[in-house]
Amino acid sequence: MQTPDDLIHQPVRLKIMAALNTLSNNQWLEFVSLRAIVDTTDGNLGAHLGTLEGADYVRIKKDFVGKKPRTRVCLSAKGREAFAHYVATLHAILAPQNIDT
Amino acid sequence: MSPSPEEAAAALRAINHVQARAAGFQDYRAESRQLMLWGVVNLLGCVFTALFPPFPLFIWLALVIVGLLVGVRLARIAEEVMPGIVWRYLLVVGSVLVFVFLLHIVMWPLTPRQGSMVAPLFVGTLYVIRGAQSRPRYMIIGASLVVFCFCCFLFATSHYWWWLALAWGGTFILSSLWLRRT
Repeated sequence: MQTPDDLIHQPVRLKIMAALNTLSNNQWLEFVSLRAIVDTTDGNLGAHLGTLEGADYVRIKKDFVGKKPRTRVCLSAKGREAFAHYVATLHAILAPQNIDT
Repeated sequence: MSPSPEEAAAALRAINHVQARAAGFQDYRAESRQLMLWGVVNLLGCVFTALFPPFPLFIWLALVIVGLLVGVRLARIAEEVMPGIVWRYLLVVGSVLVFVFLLHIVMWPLTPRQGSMVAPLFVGTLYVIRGAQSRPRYMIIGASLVVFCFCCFLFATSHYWWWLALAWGGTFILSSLWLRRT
């Protein structure tokens, strides 16, 4: 039986991972941009990013542009691999006959 | 517990939706900065042409050079998210400038009023094509630019450059704000 990664399967985290997966390796997305794409609140996004960071799926970088604080997020290699596996698992659930071949 | 096929299909649809949204968001953000820049450049160009009618070539040359320099700087900011954007940007803006220049040679002599239509009509058409191929907002921006500028050309008998400043620069600036509200 195929079981997708529970960490990613949560709807908001799924959106975060899907959005970050559109970027190339080591490309960063600003927190505010990610919030607009995922369409959620600061607090909710921050909490889910914390969970993903704890699993080493995302990397978070905080710096300053002039005097303005900036938070950027990027998918780690482990996160990219986990997301690819997650998508493969979903496809496998939709086409179970392909698992055995 | 394993999700049902319906849940798996819904998750895949959600992924596709977010990926399309993410791609569009980054594209619109980068374009928004450029539209604001060139909106201001075109607005100033038309205003200065209205104020100093004998010097349109110097005015536009100076403004286009400044616009290009700032535009490359803005493209560099977006390069982190869109690799290769600087070269694509230079290619696109360079092509527009070369087209405008060549068309002036082919159609010479053009009045300043006729010449002022070449760039907005060409750029508007490019946006419509781009919108038809990828993102629909560009189609609306391009169509608006063509319609407003052409109406200006047909109907603005007095204060032409002031009206064109609104039609050309104004459309770009408002479009920039609209794309930012993605």
